[in-house]
Amino acid sequence: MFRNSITGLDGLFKDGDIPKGSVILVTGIEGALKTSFIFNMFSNHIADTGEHGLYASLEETKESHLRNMESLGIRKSDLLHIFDYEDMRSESKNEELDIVKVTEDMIDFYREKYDNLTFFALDSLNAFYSISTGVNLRKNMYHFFTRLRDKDLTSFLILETCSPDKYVFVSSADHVEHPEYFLADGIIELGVIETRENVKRYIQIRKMRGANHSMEKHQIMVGKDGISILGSVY
Amino acid sequence: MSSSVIERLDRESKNIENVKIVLEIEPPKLNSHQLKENIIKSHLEIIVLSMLAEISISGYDLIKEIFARYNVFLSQGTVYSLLYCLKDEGIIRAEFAKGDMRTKRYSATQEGKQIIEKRIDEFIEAEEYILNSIKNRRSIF
Repeated sequence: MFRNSITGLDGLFKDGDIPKGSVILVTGIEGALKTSFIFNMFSNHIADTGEHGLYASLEETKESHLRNMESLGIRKSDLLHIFDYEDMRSESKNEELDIVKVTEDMIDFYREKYDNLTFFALDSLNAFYSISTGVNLRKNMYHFFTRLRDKDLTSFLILETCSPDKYVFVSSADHVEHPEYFLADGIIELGVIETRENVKRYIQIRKMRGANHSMEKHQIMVGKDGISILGSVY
Repeated sequence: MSSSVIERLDRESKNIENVKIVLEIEPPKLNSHQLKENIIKSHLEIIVLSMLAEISISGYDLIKEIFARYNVFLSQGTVYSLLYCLKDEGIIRAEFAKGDMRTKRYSATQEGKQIIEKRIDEFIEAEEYILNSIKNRRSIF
């Protein structure tokens, strides 16, 4: 149960959980703790279930990522496998990478090696789009999302947004530009609220198919043992 | 029509049906290259380990080397995943190439060399057993 993997996360669900096999978009501006939230959730989920997870990092090397997580009190389990694309990207030099194929082959490899690999994260979709060349990847995301579901993995795709209101569409053209928003089974948003007095980080479940959830923004905190979620920010 | 002719036609039609069923369920025939590719992919770990016991090589060059040796092209997603797993298991290590901080070269650790030798011996023993049983079966005919 992912809802029990972060202290206070269950308070965002009235009923249900993040459904197994779903594709969840984790959105937010820079510094909103998207990466830390997912990594912390995975580490705790592994400790509870003994399942294997796969974390694909396109933005940081494995070493740098682990250093950052440790500084937040988040420790990596041996059952959490990290794949960073850095070596491949630097060694391939100017050759074009078929990032979708590489990613799917990587997932298939780990699934074959570890029977109970049940969840996956891609950090981030922005880097995924920027690496891919020659194809309109955004238009092909439907197939990528479908194949993730076919692999029976609960997948979390991290997407950095410029503005917290990016998910609000004003025209049908925006749907074409950002198909991931309506293709995803769920959207978890992390962000920052600034007032005159202070700055608070929050988490909000914008959408979660198959679960009855709160729409309120809840405060998110980082302590010596990682992330926890408090009550509503208002 | 006599009953014997009807029986013959009936038999033939059943045979045709059987042939049709066989054609439908028979998997596509593999040519030798496809067969070789399947063998390489299903025994990739031992093939890579046997190479890393001898040489120090980057992931990118490993893909090129496998292609040169076996004419089989492997995905980067598969090869780098395998290298990362072997590194996590302590069988191989990664070091930057001299004067090139962009390229990591992988080679067997001291402990890994012993593990690799053991795995290669086990693999050869198992393969020889299977190959010999196939050869012996052939000699019967």
